[in-house]
Amino acid sequence: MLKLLGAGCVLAGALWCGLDGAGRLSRRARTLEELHAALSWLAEELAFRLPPLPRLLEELGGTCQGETGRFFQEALRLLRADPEGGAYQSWRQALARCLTALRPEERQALLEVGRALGRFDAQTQRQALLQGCRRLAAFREEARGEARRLGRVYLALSLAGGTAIILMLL
Amino acid sequence: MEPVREAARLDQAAGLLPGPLRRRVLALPLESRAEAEELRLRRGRPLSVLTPRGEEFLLDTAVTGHDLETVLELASACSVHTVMEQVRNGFVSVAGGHRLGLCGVGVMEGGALVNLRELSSLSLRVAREFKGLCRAVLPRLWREGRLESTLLLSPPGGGKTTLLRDLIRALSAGEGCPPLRVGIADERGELAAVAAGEPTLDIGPRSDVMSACPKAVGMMTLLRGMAPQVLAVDEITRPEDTQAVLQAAGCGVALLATAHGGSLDDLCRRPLYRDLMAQGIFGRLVVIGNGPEGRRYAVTDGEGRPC
Repeated sequence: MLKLLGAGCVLAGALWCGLDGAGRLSRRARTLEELHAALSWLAEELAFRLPPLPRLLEELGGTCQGETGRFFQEALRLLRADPEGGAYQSWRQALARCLTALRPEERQALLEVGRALGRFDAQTQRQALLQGCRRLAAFREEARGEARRLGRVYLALSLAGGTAIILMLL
Repeated sequence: MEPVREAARLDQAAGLLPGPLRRRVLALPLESRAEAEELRLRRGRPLSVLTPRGEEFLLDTAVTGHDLETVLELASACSVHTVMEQVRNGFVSVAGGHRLGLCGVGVMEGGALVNLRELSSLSLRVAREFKGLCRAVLPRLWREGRLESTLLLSPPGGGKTTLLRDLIRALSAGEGCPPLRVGIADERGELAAVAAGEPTLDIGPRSDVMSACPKAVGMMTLLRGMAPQVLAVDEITRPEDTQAVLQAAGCGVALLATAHGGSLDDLCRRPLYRDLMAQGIFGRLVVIGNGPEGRRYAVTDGEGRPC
């Protein structure tokens, strides 16, 4: 009975590791999806409504979910706390604190978008945003594929690993 | 003049400067801060303060290109795209009614200036309120119990806007005259400095402001919607402004306007104003001059006869 309980615990632990790995992959894909949608929305707003950047960040902070929402809220908080530092500094610092699921090349793409925000005319900012959108869309597709492929692999490996440990211990 | 209040106006404008330059300005003596009219920032040179005595350089400062960009970014609340129309006109109105003049390399498209890059100089003009300034002028602007349409003239930086704002305040409050409804077409936001729908400068209790739209549009909107008795507009500089003035003049309201120029002759030499003067729109001209004892106001009728 005790052996069975132990085997169950080992299997559950292994499964949890697999699910966590798969979850991280799908979280990254979801974050990239949300960021892509947010940057597209920003580009549209800069084409028509031309609101000030703090208001745009406020709206994104209120509408985006989870880490993405926290990123925009943090960028706004930093911008309000130190406007002299400029929009790019706030964006960069917020990126360093949030969006931890992203990879360096994805963070770099976002940094390049941040370099243009609030500093140039609307057209230049839109170009930077659309360029950022294109790069994020490519990263998102890659992340989705990875989540699909590796998610299953992680689950299979965790189950196989758990079973192997149980067999070794029995 | 209350030095503390006047110094606070400069301190507010200096809030747009990067930290080291701002701290240097705030460290100036109270009297200097109270009389400062402009801050001048030129790339690679020291910051300077314009006072009635001239331009004084703060030699322990040096302005960089990054400083100039920071000032523009702060003036636009980190949203340069919201002020591009003003950038194209060479200035940005900032909170408090101050004005940031811009100079740099022009980006042209189809013969028109569409942007400025590599900013080289900025001029931060401090909006001042000198209540009672118009007392020397206001009684001479009436004829047979009616306010005459009046044009205030001076070279740039001569104090036209300050005098116009005080005239608006006095007419609207009925200070030394019957109170009148004043409509203000405040394209640059310098006359009333409206923030969240409320004027932050004193323009009197009977004033209505149309801000941030072209003067011609603002004047016509005020005429249609607010039935003003006086229509005030700062700096007539474009043909469409003069057209709007001509239209408004036919509606029975008194006009208060400003223009760059040193005399009636100056004005008549410029095609933009020739029509206005020829049609006798303005019954009074106030020429603002600078003397050793301060500003002087010469009031004449539309043909240059002293009033």
